[in-house]
Amino acid sequence: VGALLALASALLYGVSDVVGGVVSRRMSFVRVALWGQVGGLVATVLAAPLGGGAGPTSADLLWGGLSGVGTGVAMVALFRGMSRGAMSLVVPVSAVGGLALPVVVAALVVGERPAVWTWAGVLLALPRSGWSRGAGRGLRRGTPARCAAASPRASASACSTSRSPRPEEVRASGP
Amino acid sequence: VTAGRVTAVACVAALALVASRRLPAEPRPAPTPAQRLAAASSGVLAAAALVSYLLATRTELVAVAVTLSALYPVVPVLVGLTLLHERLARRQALGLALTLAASVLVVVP
Repeated sequence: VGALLALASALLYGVSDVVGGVVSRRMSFVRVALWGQVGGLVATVLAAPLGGGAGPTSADLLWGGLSGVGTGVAMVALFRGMSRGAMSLVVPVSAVGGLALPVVVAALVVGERPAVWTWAGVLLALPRSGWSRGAGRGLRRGTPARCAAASPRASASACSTSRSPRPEEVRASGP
Repeated sequence: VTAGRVTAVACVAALALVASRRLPAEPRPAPTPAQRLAAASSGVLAAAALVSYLLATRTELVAVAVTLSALYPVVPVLVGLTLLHERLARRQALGLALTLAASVLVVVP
């Protein structure tokens, strides 16, 4: 069940990005991000009772709120990227930024020691924003790089940090 | 747990931030109701995705959940290349391949 939920999550995220990206080409990307957050807020308020359990502590709320700031900026950046660039480039660049950032932060701040190939992936990710944007086909330079700098998923995953083991900890503790 | 409520608060913070950032005048015409609905549904889908992810991390090993949910860029890539007919220069295609490879390397536990 857990694996299916994770796959469903990936599918929903992917479709969400496609819908947001397509709409961003027709209306202001800032408005897309704003309406998207309104829709997301309504959905989470409706879903909140399903979670059950004890109410959130003030620390939970602080982390959640902080994560929301990152999400807001990141969604504007992501939709800006997709409003003028190819979504087949913008989203993967954003995703790799969101995956690599927690690894680097965990290594520098928390003192974790990621596996060798994890570092290889981070190093491989570094110049990618420059390579992917390239020239031509009407893609404006620099936009995907800006998206990578602030990935929505990285801040979204911070929501779960206060209660569950963080993804990067588990990832870094591999053989 | 309380993840749903925490994310709701997160979205309020995001909303306030986005609202303050939209102050610069936009040259484009006002969006139609259908476009607003589509934009909002994007957020609803993302919220559903986050809830699924958090539920998955509770029932499955976090490493498995992270790995599987990191597959999400596959959808925009496929849609962009097939339905939207996005064409990539050779250099960009190479960049895409290396980006996906980097994602796999980082995610592998």
